[in-house]
Amino acid sequence: MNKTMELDVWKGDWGLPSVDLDCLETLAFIKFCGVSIKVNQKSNPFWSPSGTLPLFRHNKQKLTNIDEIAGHLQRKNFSPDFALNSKQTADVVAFKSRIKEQLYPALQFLWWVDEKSYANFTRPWYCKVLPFPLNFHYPNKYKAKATDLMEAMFTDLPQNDIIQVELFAAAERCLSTLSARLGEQEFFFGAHPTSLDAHVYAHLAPLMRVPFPANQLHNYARAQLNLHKFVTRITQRYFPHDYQEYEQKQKQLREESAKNAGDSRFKAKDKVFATVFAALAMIMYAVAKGFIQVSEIEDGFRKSKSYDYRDSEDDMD
Amino acid sequence: MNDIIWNDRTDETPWPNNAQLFQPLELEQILLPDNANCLYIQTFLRMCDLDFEIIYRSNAEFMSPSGKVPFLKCGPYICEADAIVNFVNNKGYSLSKDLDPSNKADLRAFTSLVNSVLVFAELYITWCEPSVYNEVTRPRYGSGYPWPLNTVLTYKKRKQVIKMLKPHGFYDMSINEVYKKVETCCQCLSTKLDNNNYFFGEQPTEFDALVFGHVYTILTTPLPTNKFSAIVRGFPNIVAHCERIEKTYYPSDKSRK
Repeated sequence: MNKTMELDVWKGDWGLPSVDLDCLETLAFIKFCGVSIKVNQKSNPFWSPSGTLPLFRHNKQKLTNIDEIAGHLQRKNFSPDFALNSKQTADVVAFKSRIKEQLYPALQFLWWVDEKSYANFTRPWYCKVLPFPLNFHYPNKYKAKATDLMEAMFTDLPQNDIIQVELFAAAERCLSTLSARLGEQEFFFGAHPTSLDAHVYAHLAPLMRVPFPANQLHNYARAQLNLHKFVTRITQRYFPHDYQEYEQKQKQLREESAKNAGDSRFKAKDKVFATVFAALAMIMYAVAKGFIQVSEIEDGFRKSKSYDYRDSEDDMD
Repeated sequence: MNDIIWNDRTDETPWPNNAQLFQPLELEQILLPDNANCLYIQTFLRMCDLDFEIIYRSNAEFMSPSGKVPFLKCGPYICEADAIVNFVNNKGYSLSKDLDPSNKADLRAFTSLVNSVLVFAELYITWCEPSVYNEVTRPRYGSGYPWPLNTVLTYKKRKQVIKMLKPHGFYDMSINEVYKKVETCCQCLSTKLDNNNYFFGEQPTEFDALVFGHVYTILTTPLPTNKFSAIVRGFPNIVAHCERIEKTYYPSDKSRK
């Protein structure tokens, strides 16, 4: 009797089942295979043999690499790629290396190297999800890894903004290549998703859904309409739970903010009421203390009138 | 909508007649990865039917503004293979402009495949495989310089290459894993080529030049271990493609046979 397969991944956010590229790819791959698997949103790579997530466990085997996991599942006769002919398989390999060469470095830059998003966004996020002593170690480790990649790509490390221009230009070229290849199809090879779809999805979804502080690529990626639809399609179809949960949360937030907006209108009414009340109170006080002379004059007038009356009475008397 | 634009700047000035391509000495100095790149660019320029002169310099690597060979002097200096191809395309000489967008996307993807597998595998064999490093790379790379400069430069270059291979995962692989990657890559190329004369249609493109550059160099460079070339030889249609380009574009070249 086979034990159930388990998969530990980084936690999800922004409507994604996981925020990490490799975890996302593995999750999508497994969904496309149709394997039932227990997913733990663990966000702790400490117990993984290679120090990275995803961690796949099955019958005491521990695998941490998408290629190994794919190989393992293929031996169990699970693969989304069985329907592909040899030419299409060659295309899969070629496009994967295209993404690895052109899009992956830009994403690494966006997550870990760009100072602004690292300090304000990536680091706080990871510090929040990791348990206490580890949250000092792992973000630094991942940043160092990304920096190594940048150093390998640019021999005399120029300023960050020069790197950014080059990487983003390459990523945009890659995105338009993918968009051209996808065309109006539902998935890259027709109506059924393959491992290439999982790979592309894992790289595009964070780019489109994660709200980085400065992200020109985000707009470019969203402008490629067919890619945007592709990502939404996979999220809705294969990860409906995460998607709906996030949408509901967003809806709640929107409603709350709408309520807050209503509250603020109410507050404006309150303010008017308070002002009027305070003004009235002050006027009454002023009147009571005699700073305003209206009543006295009236009294005087009345008095004089009454005197007149009395006088006239007296006269009459 | 989906047309792929590499670079918007087009340059209308014609090709000058004094273009010069600089590369290291071919017989006694050049190494496998550099040779593949140089051959790629030479073939590409020949396919575009452009005039150029090859200039061999023992210090070509240090003459190049970016430290990479080959580099082209054609008005400005342009270094690195991709930049040269891009530059020539912007001048209006393009081998792939008639392809439809989907084929163009394929061309870019397969270019990446070659660049991320064959190039790194060549660097690995040349600099990280002990027998090749000691018997071929060290003597050849240092040949242009006197002692102790040759030792220092070779050491520095090796460190630089290792730094480059590490983040791509190649440095931690064993030689057999690298061979396996090369074999997968060749399998993909072979399937893509099928029984056609060229990879994309009846006319050669820059991708054919790229594959020719690498395959020809791998097949003809003598190394202490011949496993690398044996893998490539296992795919007859790739070898035939290489011979076809050699016959068409280097008909009278005695040094290439």
